[in-house]
Formats: sequence, structure tokens, C-alpha cells
Amino acid sequence: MLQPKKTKFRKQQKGKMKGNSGRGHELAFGSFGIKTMQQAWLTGRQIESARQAVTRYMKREGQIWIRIFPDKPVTKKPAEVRMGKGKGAPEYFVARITPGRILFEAEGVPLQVAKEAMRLAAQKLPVITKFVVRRDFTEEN
Amino acid sequence: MKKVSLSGSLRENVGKKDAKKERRNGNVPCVLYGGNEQVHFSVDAFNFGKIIFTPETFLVELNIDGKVYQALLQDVQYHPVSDSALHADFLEVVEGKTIVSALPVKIVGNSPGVIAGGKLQQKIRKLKVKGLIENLPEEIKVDISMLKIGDSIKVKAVQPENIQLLDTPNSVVVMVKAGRGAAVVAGEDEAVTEAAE
Repeated sequence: MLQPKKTKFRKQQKGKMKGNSGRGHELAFGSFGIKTMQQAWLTGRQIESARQAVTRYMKREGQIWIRIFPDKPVTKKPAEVRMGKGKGAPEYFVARITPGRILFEAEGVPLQVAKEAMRLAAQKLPVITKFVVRRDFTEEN
Repeated sequence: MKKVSLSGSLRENVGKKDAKKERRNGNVPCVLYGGNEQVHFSVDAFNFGKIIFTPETFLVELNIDGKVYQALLQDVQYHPVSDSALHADFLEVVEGKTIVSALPVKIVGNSPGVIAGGKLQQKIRKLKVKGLIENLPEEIKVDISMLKIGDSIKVKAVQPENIQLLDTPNSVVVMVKAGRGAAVVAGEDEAVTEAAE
């Protein structure tokens, strides 16, 4: 599961997300990919689950790239604890994504295989996504 | 270099409001520079799509309200969510002046490595070149008929005539990787046995 090796601070404030993705909205490595249409916090588990779905469908052929990284710690209070008495303990890490962000990229497999693999990955994510293909893509290259 | 013609109309006003209006009307706001003057114009988004949804690089003959310019597509900005073209830059081609452009790589020939079960991987799809417009070919051909499993062709091995390649000489253009269950090429097998003896 993806998470930082070490962090400067253990806990972070929630923050706000506004607007579309300012960067990471173009395919940079592969010919195919999925792009989010919504903003969300994607947990390390969700990203890992989607990655496994792609890898299994592509049967270890081709190459995939994960374009997001969960670097924001999320805290949670234990069950049945009264409010107050400080912020809870860090539970998991999330990646903040805004509309337009490319989540996964793939290369080295036919278009139909990549499309199905990305569909399976999208099912593991809590956002609406769109399958994208490199603009100059042709079946022969 | 392949030629394509595109007609556009001059923009009466420039700025955010006018650009948004152009996009609503199905046009792409564009700018042409590199010549004597800067020209702000707009082209039909559908026709513009023909030069971006292709691996080829074109010399664009721009017809802007009757005046014809030769230009190269320099840069395009896209919407992060809808992926529609927001704005395009064209660089005017002046005769006798060297230009920098990216030309598509065309793979030719049959590789013995691929026949033996290796996987062909194209690492670079477009090579950055510098030269005079009349010397620029449609595509840069890379012959892979000598590529065995594990071999690669680097930028320094590609030598097109009359143009200069700007990519890093040691970058790999195309390679044949050993696929799962790839057979060893007959020549290599013999060489290994000889060495063992």
C-alpha cells in the first residue's frame, strides 16, 4: 500500500479543495489512462485495490504508472470516545485529487485490454472517471 | 513535410471575454507569431482537430481572412477535464530560417528479435529536429531489421539527411525486450556454445 516513508509532521488540517486540476491532467507516460471527473480524497487502500485490478487484468503484460500518491495523513478518534481531549491518532493516508487528474496510465497492451483494465480499476474508486487515449494514438503505434 | 490548409478569421477583440465567446461558438482562439507581426485569429474546432488527433506533423497553410501564412503548430492548451482545445500557438515559417519541430518516428522492417518472440517497445514517438523547412521529411524512418532480442536503436544511430537531431544522443528510440517465453535467436545460441567450448 502506498504511503510516505516518513513525514515532517504527524497530523495535518483538513484543508480545502477548489477548482480543476492545475497539473497532472495530461498523459505523460503511457498511451491510455483514467482521469477523474470529481474531487475526492483517495485512500492508499483504494489506490492499491485499483492497481491490483489493472495488473491482474493485464496479466503482467505491458506497464502501468500510478500518477497519484497518498501523502496526506487522516486522523480518527477511537470508538466510543467523548469529544474533545485532542485530535485523534493518524489512521491512513489519502491523495487529494481534483477534476481532470490522471490517476493511472498504461502502455504495451491493446486498446481494448487497456480499456477493460481501466474500467475494472475505476470500479474500485469512489469517483466518476473517464478513459483517455493519447491524442496521436493509432492502432499501429 | 505534409501540408494541410486551415482557414481562420481575425479576432476583432482579444481578451478573456472574447476568447470565451469564440469557444462557445465552436472556435479555437489562436495566435500566429515568428514573422513580422503577431496575428490573433480563430479557427473552427472541428477542422483544428484534424491536425491534433494524428501522429503526423504538418506544415499548416493558414488562410486568415484572405491572407495566407505558412506555419507550424507550436503549442496547444487543453481543458483539464473536457480535454477540448482552449488555445493554440502557430509559429510562422520564414524561408531560409531554421526551425525546430518534432517529427514522427516510423518503424520499418521486420526485426528478428520480434520474430523470435521479443517485444518491440517504442520509447520515443517524435524526435525533435532542427533544420530548414524544405529539408524536413514527413517522418523519420528507423530500420529495425537488424534488431535482435535485447538490442536497441539510440538517437545517435538515427542520422537523417540535412537536419540536426536535438534529443539526447544516448536516448533509446526503439528496443526489443525479451518477452515471456521468447526463444533465443539461433545466431546467439551458436555463439554461446562456441564461447563455452
